[in-house]
Amino acid sequence: MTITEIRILPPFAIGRLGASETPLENYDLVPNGDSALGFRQIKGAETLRVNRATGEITGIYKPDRVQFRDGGAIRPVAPFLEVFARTADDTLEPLTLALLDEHKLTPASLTWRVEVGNLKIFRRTSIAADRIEAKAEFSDHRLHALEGHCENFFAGKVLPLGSVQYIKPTAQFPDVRLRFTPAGGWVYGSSPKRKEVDASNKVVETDDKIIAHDRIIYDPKKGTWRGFDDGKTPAPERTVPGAIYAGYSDPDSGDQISWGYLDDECDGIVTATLTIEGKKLSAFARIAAGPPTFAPDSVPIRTVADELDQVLLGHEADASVTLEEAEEIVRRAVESVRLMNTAAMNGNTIEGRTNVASTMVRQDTNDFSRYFQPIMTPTSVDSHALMALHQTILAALRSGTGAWFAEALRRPDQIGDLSDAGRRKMPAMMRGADGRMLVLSRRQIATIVRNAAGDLFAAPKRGAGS
Amino acid sequence: MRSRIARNLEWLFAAQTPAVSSMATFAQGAAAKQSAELPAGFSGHDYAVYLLHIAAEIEHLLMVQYLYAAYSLGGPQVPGNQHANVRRWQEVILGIAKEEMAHLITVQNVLRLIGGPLNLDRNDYPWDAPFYPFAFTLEPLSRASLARHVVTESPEQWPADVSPAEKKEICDLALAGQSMPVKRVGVLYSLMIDVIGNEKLLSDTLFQPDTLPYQASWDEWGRAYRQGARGTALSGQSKTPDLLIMTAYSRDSALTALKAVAEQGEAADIDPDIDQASHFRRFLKLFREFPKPADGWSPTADIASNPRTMGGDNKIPGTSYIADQQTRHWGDLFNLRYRMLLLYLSHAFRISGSSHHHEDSAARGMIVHRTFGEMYNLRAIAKTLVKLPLNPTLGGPSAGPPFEMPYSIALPAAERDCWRLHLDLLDASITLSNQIAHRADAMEKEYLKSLIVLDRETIAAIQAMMGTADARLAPRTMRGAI
Repeated sequence: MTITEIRILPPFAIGRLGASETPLENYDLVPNGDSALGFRQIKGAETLRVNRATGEITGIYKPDRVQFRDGGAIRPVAPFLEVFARTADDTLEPLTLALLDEHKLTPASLTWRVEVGNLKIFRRTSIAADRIEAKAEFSDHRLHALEGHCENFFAGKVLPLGSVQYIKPTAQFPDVRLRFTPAGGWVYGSSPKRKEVDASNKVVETDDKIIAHDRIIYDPKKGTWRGFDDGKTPAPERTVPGAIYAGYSDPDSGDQISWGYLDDECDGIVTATLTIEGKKLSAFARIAAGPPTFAPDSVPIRTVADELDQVLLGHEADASVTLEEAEEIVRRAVESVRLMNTAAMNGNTIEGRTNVASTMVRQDTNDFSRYFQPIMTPTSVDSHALMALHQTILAALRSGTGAWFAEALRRPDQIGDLSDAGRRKMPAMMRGADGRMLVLSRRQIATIVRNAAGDLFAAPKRGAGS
Repeated sequence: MRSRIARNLEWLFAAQTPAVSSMATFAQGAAAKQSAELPAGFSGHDYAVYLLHIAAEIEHLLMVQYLYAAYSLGGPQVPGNQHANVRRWQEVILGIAKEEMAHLITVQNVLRLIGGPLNLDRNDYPWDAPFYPFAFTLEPLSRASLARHVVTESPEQWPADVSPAEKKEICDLALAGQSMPVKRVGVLYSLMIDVIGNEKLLSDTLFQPDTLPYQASWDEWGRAYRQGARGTALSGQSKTPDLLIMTAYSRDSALTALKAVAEQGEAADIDPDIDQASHFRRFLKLFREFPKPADGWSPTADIASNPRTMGGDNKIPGTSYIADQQTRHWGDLFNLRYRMLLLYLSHAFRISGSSHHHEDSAARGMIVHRTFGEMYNLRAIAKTLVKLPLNPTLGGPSAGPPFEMPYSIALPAAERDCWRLHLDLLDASITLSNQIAHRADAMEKEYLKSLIVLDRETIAAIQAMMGTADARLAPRTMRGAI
């Protein structure tokens, strides 16, 4: 059997930061059987136990209870990347010790190359010396730290971006895998001091109590990140919304001035290379590290997975899309409302104070000089009542009623509609990646529209109409 | 219409034979009378309240009839190539029903403005009465019922594109079997507008702008539906007008609101946009598209007319007793949730929406959302009822949402007792839901289970608001002041 191609699956893996030595165990989110409208349940799923010293998998188990932290340290989500081999036209099989052996190869025949970066500072300053990048190349089974190097760091300083390890195939667990463990989720800085605006509206320098001394890695004499002012960046290069980095608001210009902080997130490419009979086969996958989840029993209303679904399956929903899929979107809406301080996000006056939080209301005013006005009527955004309303919709859907509310959804071409009606479309009060009102993906909208009729044309029950 | 309301109409009516034009004649006569002469026992103000009550009742009746017609659409007999049409028709009619609900709410706002009691009541059985557009019937959509809707919502002068032959066909179909003339709703609004606009009958002091925070506004009740926003999800072409929920703070704004409501029903040839979006136009279009018997297919399922849960199996002419016990219990549940909807709606007019009354805000928000929640529940239960058998024997029609009025929808005098009434009904609903669940199928059980969970949560929230339960559950306390 000839190996004609290798692939890494999944082709895209997202880890989550965490400082614990123990990675988070696998789990599934399942609807609560006792209370269909209640929280989802976290059910432990099959998890591999890895000996980091040897790189071997020592066992597989299903946790009874999934633990998210060890004391103050959050458990990181550390995904595995598995290598598959194409051995015939329609066969993609795991690359195992046996398959390697069949080709007179060993695990050491395979080389991993991992290249990741944190280009957040570079994204803003456009200075190449602000790129933070790490590389590792190996065929052994040791833990390889991903050390982020940057020209503008202090000499000898690196940004730890996590680690990678080639899992050692064994007779019991013969598959070829790599594990990516993201970094600890620490904040790094540029100085023991930081600037603040005091009560008299003067800029003063104080001791920085956030950044531990050993995490001061960026040299402000080399780079411009500390003191960076987004307001001076030409508009097309700014992020939308702009100025979303830690710092202070300059009393004169109102611009956000950077404290020079950086985080240890990263993303990049993992490449596996194998030479078989003089022919070099390679495959690559993408990895990324994001922040931990603090509401693991909820799914946000729109996620990267929805984008991928749309890319993969198209923006139209065909007949195979079920009412359950529309129901899932509503369930996620319920979960989103549950996590929102809807009164504050609506721009309500809270205990006599107006404009209390960074909201879409503030955004509309700042970006377009729109009159500062709550999105919904202030009386109608009590979160308990809103949640009950969304739950009622979910309950009605579960009765087979169609998803009748498609017209209440914002359309992708309406994200900048600042009219009362436009701002009140669903999902409400939330911001999309483009800085304007959040909108569901076209595919999600199509899923709801597709299910608008419900069981309209179904036969009657229990003998009626026959 | 209830006889105590109807009897006052005798003053306005002479004996009439079935005809469409008779109401126009009546309106002219009535308008002429109102400045110089009022019915015995009425002041100008009280007369305005009385007319608004009639308007409210008619809007309410139209709404439930349209809802029934919309829910009758569908079923397995609809050919696949007609699914899109049937879905669109259902959306169009549901859209019109929503607008009737908005009209009903607007009329309540005007009542609130001029200090009249609200009226969410309506006639139940029997149905024939002298001031209804036509005999009240909950029936599956048909060419005849569509013809009646067209006539009810018609302008005084029918547009030129309706040929005399088509008009005759529609009128003949509409009038067939009617013991009373079919009346146009616009006539009543003309009279109301004349009375309310007459300073001699209603002085300026009767218009109370401080009632505004208690009224229902589009902001709160419109759910962001704007022009063309409804009925477009599937077809993308059934353009509809704004959902007219208009508040009123003066004579002028009250008149503007009533005129807008009247216009939305009738076609107005002056403005082609309004004309195309009027109820008249939408029903006319639907009438023209609706299949004739010769077309060989029916867009409606086999659904009973005028289903009822009360009165037992004794024959009441023109009605269909829901003899299947399980279906009847679903009908009971529908009636109960319908009552809850009306009471929540009524209660909302008692609670201020002003930002100066923080303590009321959460309560008002809760009541408004509960009202919408009940609309969604009614939709779900109605959809279930049109699939359940009317009779326990095999075969025969399905039932439908009975929309039977409760013995009373009056709110208690004290605010705390209003909340207690809500608790009573929630409690009754939980009992009934549990009872139905014993014989329900899996999907029905799932819904009932969810309904019970939600009702328990609402009970907890109300008790917390009343200070009789764990205060942590109170909406206001949960999220700070709003």
